[in-house]
Amino acid sequence: MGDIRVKDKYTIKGDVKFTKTHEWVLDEGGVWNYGVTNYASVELGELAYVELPAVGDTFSEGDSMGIIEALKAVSDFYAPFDCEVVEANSDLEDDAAPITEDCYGEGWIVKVKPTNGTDSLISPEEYAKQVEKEVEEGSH
Amino acid sequence: MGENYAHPYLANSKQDIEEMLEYLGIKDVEELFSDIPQEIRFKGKLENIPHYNSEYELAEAIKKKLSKNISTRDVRSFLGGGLLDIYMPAAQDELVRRTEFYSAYTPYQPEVSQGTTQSLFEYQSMICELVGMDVANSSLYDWATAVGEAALMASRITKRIKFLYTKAIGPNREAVLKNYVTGAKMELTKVPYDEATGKMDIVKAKELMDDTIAGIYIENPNFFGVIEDALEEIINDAHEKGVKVVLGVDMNSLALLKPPGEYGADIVIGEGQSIGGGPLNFGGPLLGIIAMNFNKRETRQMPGRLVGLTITSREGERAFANTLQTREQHIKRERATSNICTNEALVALSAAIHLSLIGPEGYKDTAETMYLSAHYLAAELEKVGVKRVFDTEFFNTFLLDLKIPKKKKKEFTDFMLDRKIFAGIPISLDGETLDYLVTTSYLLCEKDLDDYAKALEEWRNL
Amino acid sequence: MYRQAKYDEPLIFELGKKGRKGHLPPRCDFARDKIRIPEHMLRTTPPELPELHEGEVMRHFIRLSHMNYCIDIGPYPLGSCTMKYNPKINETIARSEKMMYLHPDQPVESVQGLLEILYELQVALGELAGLPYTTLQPPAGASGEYTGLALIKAYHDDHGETQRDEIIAPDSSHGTNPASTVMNGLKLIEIKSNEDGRVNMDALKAAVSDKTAGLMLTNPNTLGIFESEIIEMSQIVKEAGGLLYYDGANFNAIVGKIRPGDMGYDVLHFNLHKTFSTPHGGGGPGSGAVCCNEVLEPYLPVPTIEHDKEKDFYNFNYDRPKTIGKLHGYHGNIAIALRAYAYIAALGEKGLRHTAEQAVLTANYMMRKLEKLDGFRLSHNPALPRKHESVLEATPFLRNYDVSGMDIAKMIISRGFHAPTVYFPLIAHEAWMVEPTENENKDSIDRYVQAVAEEMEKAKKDHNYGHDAPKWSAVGRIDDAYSVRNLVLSWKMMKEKKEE
Repeated sequence: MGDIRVKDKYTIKGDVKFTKTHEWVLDEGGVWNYGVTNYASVELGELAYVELPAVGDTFSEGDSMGIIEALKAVSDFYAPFDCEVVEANSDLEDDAAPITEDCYGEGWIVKVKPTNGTDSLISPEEYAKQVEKEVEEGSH
Repeated sequence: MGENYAHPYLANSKQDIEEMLEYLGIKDVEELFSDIPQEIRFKGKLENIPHYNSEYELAEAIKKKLSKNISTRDVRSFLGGGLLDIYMPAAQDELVRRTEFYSAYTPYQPEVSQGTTQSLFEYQSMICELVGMDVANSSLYDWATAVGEAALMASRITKRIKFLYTKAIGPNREAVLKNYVTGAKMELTKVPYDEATGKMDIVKAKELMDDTIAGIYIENPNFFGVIEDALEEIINDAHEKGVKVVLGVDMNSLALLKPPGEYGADIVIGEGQSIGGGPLNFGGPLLGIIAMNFNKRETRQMPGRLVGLTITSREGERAFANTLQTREQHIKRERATSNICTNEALVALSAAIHLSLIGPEGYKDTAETMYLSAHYLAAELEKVGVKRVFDTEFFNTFLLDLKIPKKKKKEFTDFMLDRKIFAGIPISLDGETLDYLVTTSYLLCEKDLDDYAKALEEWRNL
Repeated sequence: MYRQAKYDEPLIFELGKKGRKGHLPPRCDFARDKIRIPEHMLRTTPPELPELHEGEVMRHFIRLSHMNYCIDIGPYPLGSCTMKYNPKINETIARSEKMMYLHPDQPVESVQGLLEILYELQVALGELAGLPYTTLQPPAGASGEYTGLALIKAYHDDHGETQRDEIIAPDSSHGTNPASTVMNGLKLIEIKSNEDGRVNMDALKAAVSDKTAGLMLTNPNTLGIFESEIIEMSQIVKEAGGLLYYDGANFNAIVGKIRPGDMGYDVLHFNLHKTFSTPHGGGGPGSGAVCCNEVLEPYLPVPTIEHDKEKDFYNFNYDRPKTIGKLHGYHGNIAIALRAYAYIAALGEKGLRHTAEQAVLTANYMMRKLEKLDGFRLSHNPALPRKHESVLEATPFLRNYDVSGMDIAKMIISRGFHAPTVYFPLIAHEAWMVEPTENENKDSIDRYVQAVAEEMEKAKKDHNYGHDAPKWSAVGRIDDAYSVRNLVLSWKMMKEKKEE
């Protein structure tokens, strides 16, 4: 499934799943890769720092796993489902730019193992609709 | 508002007002207050707002009231407790009195505020030199609140909520620490000191430390003036257990004493008033110091404003600006490292100017003078039979074993005041009698010290 | 025509030479004994402090001062900051020996003159507040907020209502509000403002419960709009068992005309460095006096300053069993409080009232003039009157010309004026928060707005002009991202970086 473009500004990747809190996840065989979406990184702007969780940390769905610091704002990133952190992209602590430049690739944040199913994820189409709605509500 | 009310602090004359009212299409400025319900308008008269009709009368009236005070320039002051009676060079006051520095705002437009930002960067740097660390912020309110902030910082870094602190802490600092940690629900435990030496009890300290402790706060010299010279074991133990070591220092003592950055402190705090931040000013404004070694993750837990070096849009140009602002309240709001917004910037600038004027030699000379004066005084007092409570090495402060009954406090105070002496800070260790915490500043001379010893000899012979 | 001075001024560490002396401190050459500190505790490497002679130190800091804008150069219409003139007599008064050379641990008999002034100040502030009990101990506004919230919490705890741990505040509030709330161990319940920028009464009604400790609200709010339903709000909160906290940052709009106590507030803080003219100092020191009513009086920080009328004696009262304790090592920023006292006494009741009136008039004049510029619009319901400050949005300018509110700010500082507060409050877009204060008049505002208009015209023709601003400041546009990515926070770190 191909990528979706919203408002000619944001790319919704076609081959991953999403959360309502602007993160993407990809099942890599039991362990899921995770990052924030292109919409989130574009909206945050230039990034200053990422506070990552530690390997072994466990979270319930919706818990804040860490913080992304932009220059003039901060944003949490949330657990997509009940999970345990198996790997964290510590390179981001030196330089958070990959999140801006390649949020679905080099900008991956953590790899997590689900501990209780992955039901609340949404499809690219659903996420694209959500982004469109938020963009429309935001501008005036 | 129709009358012609003029005042030097009000920019608008009757004509200005009329012109603006006309532009706005209204008759009276009250129309701009029309959305305020009548029932909350104040219709009475404020009876107790002081007022003087001229600048001359204002100045004279205040001068008259203040003249009732006795200042430390009228007597010989042996008061310390973290503050120091300093001399501010005329050049320092002239610079601090420059309106470009004092009437400037926080440098939120750094391009036109390089005076503030560069001088604060220089201040931060000087503090780092004194304490032996990489990073110091551009001020907290005072030493007492710095203790509180350091405890919260240690907790955020370690994710632990228990905190240890020296029993030999200044009581004001203890009081503020207790307040600062209530919100985070931290648990505080005192680490006792050896009754004979006044130094921190090593065995007890190690006993109290484990992996639930966020940090341990040690003062060196401690509140009683005692130099803690056996901290190595405690600090090693702390680090093994992941406990942050917070050192509260006398900034002047660092001219002689090894800086805490060189013996394992994680966070250093102190009071900048005593290194030239400003005169005593009855205890405010002061200058809270906090410093640490640079660590990407942990430095982001430092509270307060931080000035950093950066570049600009102009090729090859460097500049200074507040950085890591995302730690602060205006961005992180309820997750800020601290609620601090306004700090003590001008006092920090003042300290930087002071240190620039006195230089490393002046810094060392004044420290040596204070040290030697205190030791001279202690020796003279011993000659007249007055000893120190703790027979341990000290910098410029010691606790005098006077044991004056509490009900005789006023008598003693008046006795010493008659001899033009502020004798020291009364401290009660046993709850019934008073010992006196004596500090020598570098403004005191041999005669002053002799007079103090003589006075005490007289008192004891009463 | 404006050019800010520019010197490529080295860091003071890059100046001077070994052996130069800037000051001779007193040296009592007696008993030059040896230092008896144990060897392992001795400092071996002296600190690298500058070695300059007095004239060099003067030159360095004078040149730095030339690269600093200040209120004595031009307007600073920073919304929420109340940047007003700092009377010079206050600096002279504060340099009295009988103020500077007082140690807080002196016998209280020796500071009666100072305590008389502080007591008078406390009473005056209490009257202006309509909340008679005052503490001068908080050394800044944020500390005052912490104090006021702590008083509220202490009250509820004292009445066995420890479940009350929620503070309600609008989404327009200043960042110190939620930060101070959390520092007290309380939870912030943020309620959305309605479309005209005021507290949404339904949201407020929904937010109160038996967990409500209080409502934290500045009035007028951060948009400069008066919350005219404050009496109803106060009733809603009080009926639910909560108390009201007034953030005094915007007091300049109402000083002498309306008293927060009369609006139903129980406690407030004043920013003495805002409404009461004490100098901002490049970031501080300030002072955050707190006033409260008899409900919260028992919990005030210790000690309180009291006056024995019979003996005409001022004293510190430490016997306050319900006190929240101390917020500051001593009694607060006393030398700052003295300046505020002098300011109040120079104006008196009438002068203070005129201050509020002129502040509101100039703010409205400036707002209407800026509103007319192509590219600005008033945030939130233009029909509502504003008080001492207003929030304009540069969104139309950004949309049409690709030049932002920040870019306009950078252009105006290049004209010898200071920009207003940009990008606050968060509920406005491309916000320009403008507060001229009574320190500006028609002439100065006209000049300011004229400059803004001219700059915006230039940017319309070429958006790069906006992006490249400021042009005539000492340094060019600061690269914030670079500073964060390449952290250099001291001379020590600078040297280490050079070595790399």
